[in-house]
Amino acid sequence: MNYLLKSREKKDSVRKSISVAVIITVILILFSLIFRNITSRILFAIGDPLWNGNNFISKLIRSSFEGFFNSVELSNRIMTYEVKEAEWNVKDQEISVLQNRISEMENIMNRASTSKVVIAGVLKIPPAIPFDTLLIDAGSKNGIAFGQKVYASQAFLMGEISETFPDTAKVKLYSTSGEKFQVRLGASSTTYEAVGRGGGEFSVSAPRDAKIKVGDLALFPGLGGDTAGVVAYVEEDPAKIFEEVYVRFPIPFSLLDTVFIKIGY
Amino acid sequence: MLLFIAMFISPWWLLFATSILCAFAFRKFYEIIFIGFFFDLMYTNSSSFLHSHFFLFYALITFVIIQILQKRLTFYTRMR
Repeated sequence: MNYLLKSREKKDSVRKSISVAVIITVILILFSLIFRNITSRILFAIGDPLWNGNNFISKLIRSSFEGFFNSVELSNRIMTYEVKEAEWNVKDQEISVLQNRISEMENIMNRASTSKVVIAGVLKIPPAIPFDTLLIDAGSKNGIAFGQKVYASQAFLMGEISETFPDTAKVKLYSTSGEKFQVRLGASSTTYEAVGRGGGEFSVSAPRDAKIKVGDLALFPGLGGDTAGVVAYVEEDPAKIFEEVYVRFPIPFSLLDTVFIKIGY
Repeated sequence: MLLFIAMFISPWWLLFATSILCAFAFRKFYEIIFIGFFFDLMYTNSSSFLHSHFFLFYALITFVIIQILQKRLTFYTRMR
């Protein structure tokens, strides 16, 4: 009896294509280590008009089709946003009062801030991007530089400039997964280490007797006391000494159209 | 070309789903590795090596898995 021999061609072809893929990956990694800046600049130069055009068309389509939505659903959404906006306004006012007092103290101590603010439009934002990153339409031509602080409003500090290009910049949010930083929480304003969890959220391990409750503000250390977020949930476990406090950025990403960058000191 | 433009415009999940479908539809779809590479360049912020090349490695692993699956699926063996 004759049996057909197994074909080795298929196995070799798969091995060959995998080897080629691995070689391509290694070459791309080396390329990114050497030419990262130039390649990023080219990509952002191509992307800038596409992102602006995409935002323009999205707004146009949204405004054209809004009339077709169920009017009840629309009015419910408007009410929800109005309630949220009222809550933010109250928080903003509380923070403004505190910041005015801090400014008075700074003036007395001769340390008044002389920083300038640049307003930038948001080109791309989560969840369109899988990371806690923002792309903004202001770059080095507008005085934007690495490390400058980015605010969502007067009070809420959300991240820092991580990369700049002539007309655009990348913002790294503090809530990026794994990102560690210090915040002050609770009535005693104790400093804790916060760890980013992604999606505009970060967590803090605090002792159970810290008496942190939902709605408390998490502030960055320092005289300015910029706000990092609002406590959204406290996970208590009587068996544990520490409780897990989840702090969320109060403004939904979908409502973020503009950001403010502080330049100078 | 369309996938390259979609990298800028479409949501990331749609881009990856389309890339995976294209990798299944076409043999030796090396473009998926380039898409992962460009995506990392544009959107990652991390300073660590693994995080800054996350989607490149993800694309490579996806490509390898799809190549192995294509060998085993009857649909592809019959087409050859």
